[in-house]
Amino acid sequence: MRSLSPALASLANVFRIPMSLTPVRPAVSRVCHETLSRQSAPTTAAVQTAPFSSTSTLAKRKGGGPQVDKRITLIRYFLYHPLTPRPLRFSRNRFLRHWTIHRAWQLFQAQQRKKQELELQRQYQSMQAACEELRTGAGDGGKLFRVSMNKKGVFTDLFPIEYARFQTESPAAEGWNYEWKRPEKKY
Amino acid sequence: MLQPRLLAPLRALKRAIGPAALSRQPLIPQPLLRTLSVPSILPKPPTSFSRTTTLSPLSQVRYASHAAQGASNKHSRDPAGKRLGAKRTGGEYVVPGCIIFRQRGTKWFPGENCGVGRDHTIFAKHAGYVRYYRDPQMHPDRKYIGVVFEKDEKLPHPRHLPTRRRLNMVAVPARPDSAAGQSDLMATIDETHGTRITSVQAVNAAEGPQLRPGYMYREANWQIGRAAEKAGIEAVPYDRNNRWLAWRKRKARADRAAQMKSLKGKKKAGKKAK
Amino acid sequence: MAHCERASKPLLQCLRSNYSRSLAGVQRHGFHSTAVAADEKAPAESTSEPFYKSPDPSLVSSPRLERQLMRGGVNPIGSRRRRAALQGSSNLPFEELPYQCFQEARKILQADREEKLADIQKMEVRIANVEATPTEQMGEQAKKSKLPAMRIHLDKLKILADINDPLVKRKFEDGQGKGFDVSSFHATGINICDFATGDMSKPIYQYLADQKWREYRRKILVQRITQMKVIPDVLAKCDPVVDTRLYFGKHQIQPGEFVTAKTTTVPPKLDVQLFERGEKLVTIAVVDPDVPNVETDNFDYRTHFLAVNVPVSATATKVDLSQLSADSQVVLPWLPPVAQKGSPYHRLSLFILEQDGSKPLDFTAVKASETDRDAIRLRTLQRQYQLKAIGAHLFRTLWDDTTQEVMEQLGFEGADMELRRKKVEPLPYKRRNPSSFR
Repeated sequence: MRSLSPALASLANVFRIPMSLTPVRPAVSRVCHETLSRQSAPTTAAVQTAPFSSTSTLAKRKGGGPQVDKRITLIRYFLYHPLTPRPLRFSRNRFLRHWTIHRAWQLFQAQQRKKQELELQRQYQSMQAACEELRTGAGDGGKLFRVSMNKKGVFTDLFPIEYARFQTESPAAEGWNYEWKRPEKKY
Repeated sequence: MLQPRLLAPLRALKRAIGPAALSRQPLIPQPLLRTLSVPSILPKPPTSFSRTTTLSPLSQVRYASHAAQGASNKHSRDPAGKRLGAKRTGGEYVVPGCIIFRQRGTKWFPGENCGVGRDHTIFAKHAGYVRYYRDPQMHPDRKYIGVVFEKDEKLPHPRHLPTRRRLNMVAVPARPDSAAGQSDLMATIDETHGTRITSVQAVNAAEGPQLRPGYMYREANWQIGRAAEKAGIEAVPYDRNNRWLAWRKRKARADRAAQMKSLKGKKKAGKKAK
Repeated sequence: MAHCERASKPLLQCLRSNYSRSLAGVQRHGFHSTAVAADEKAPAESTSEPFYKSPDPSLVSSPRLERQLMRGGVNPIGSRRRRAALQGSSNLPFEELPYQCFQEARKILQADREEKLADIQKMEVRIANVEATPTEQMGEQAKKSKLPAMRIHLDKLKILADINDPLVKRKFEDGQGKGFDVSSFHATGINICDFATGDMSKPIYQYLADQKWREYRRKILVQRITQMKVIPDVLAKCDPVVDTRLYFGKHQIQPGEFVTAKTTTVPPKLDVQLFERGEKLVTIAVVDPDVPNVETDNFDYRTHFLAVNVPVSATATKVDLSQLSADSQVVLPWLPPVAQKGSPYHRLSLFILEQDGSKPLDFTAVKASETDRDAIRLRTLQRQYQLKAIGAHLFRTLWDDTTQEVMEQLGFEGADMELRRKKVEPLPYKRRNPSSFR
């Protein structure tokens, strides 16, 4: 067997695709096919005779054939296979602890969201107040405000360079790194 | 070529890793594929496989890589009519059991006082007048067939009103149901008519052995079936949780089988010895 | 938690021999807001008595003591193995379990709870202020619209304060600390194991119980009453908001279940669980919309029970239809339902209707006007007395082996008659378009 690239190997591990050629549990498709072919006998025997019927003759007959749903067989096979990971079960206390932590985490996130929302609201309102001040308090009848609000020719030719970086709520602590030098290539 | 749908996630996986990685090492996913691939591991599918594919949960895809065979008879596109369609028009009078509409699948759904049969035939459950209608509050797209009692009634009824029903029954003096009063068949041999099989009156059935079909003087079948009851014999009801009893029975059966087997062996051995 | 308490904890642990006492300790300093008094009473009694005299349901492990407990109406908590293991454990209370993440989480929840408690206090003060302000100052309409909204907000805050408490959750699941007296409940013959709720006088437990009810049982009820067409047949609509359970003797009847005639000879008991504060006066009616009438070829209504002015609240949930007072509540006493032989099944629908503003109805007037069982329509009653359906239940009866006996006891007319389907006259055969068949 060829060795896999590490990326593929890790992905196969994540998706639980068996890496060996002889998997302990037979492949899903093989089991499915075997089950289907084994149980297809009654379905082939049940030929439709009545022309209008959507029910097979065997199912219609009283008592019917063995009513086994193949899908249930397959689900049960994979659910109770020893290789299937066990369901997650907690003891009472452990579950309560888990629940407490979960609730706290949700609460914490909700608080953070709320805080952020409030902060954005505050910023927006202060900007609005500033604009209002400009409109009424500048003493020029609001001309400055109108000019500043004029958006003509803003996005005409190119995309603004400001949008090339992530939009943050506040500017960076050091706005510009003046000491930056282009790193010299080493040959 | 049959390709199982199972390969789809693997294909997605390949796509996710990116064409660059795959172009550098084009053969890498092969062993991975082999572990999952069906055609290499599977035995050849049986001939009846195409039947089962329609039923299987993991349906397989047949790509049109070859022209389908057996096209010679496919062109007779004029099968016999199946006499489907409306048998009763709107407003026509129907009685219970009257077939109103024959169809393939549910083109029409059973509405008020109507039922749907095994082949989706709509039939009336009460005597009345047929209505074809829609009920957007029940379902936005479905068409219904209903039966109303009055000639000028409209369907659907307003939803907040009580349902309109008919009793459709008569009161008769109650008859006590007696388990003993069952009838049975009796055979009589007559010169003029030959052998005739007639039913015995229920009152005479318990009188004793009579000539029955099969030319036997015997009691009625139901009387034979109740013999244990008459004798007062009661079977212990089966309790599937009584594992102790089950174990004893199993043990006894195994012992008896072992005994029979040993006897058989002895006989053979004895014969050989002779 | 106070520092001195934390310091003295190991010492206390040595002294504690009883799990119940340590549990009580948790409850005392655990973050539980409303009405702690009921909790503190219980451990105070069991201070000096030996264990076998008053066994602890969370510790008892011997079958004899378990039986003794169960006879008293208290079920042991958890498995016997768990209880036996708890006897020898160090009895560290759940709140103090030394898991770092858990403790950090608790800190966050505690802080949030403090905040909520402050909000509650603020809200209470505000409500008191609004109530104290004279009507002329702020307008009657404003006061009327403001106060209920504030009260609803206060209830919401109270729920929010307790909803993250693991002990509240645990208590709710265990069904401990119920508001009513357990022994009297047991005397009525009703098993308490099937519903787990906390003290229903507190809003948090009301909320949790409501959520649990809506999760499954209400859905089933609504499905049954709509699919069996009780809703358009008896009343135009019903949005159940109270959990109703129906018992005949000891047996709980699921909505829509078939009940034999013999069991229905005694009036049923009800368990009407309200999920909100306060007391409500309700009207209880049992209506059968399926009485066959051969003359009109239709079905009639019959009222099997009617009582008015029945008080229910979140804590007092038991309503025994046979115990209601005949001269102030019961308008029509219980009439056992019987189904004639051959008739289609009877749906016995029980409705709990809230009286307008929880004001009592005039019993004598109602009693004087509603006398004929067959003439009463619940729709008319609802319109006449401004009732609102807040709860429903349903059971069905069919002719069975015991019906004949019950009919004879009641003197039911038509007991010797049987209903049969009318013979269907087939339509005359009509040859369609005969000329084309030639």
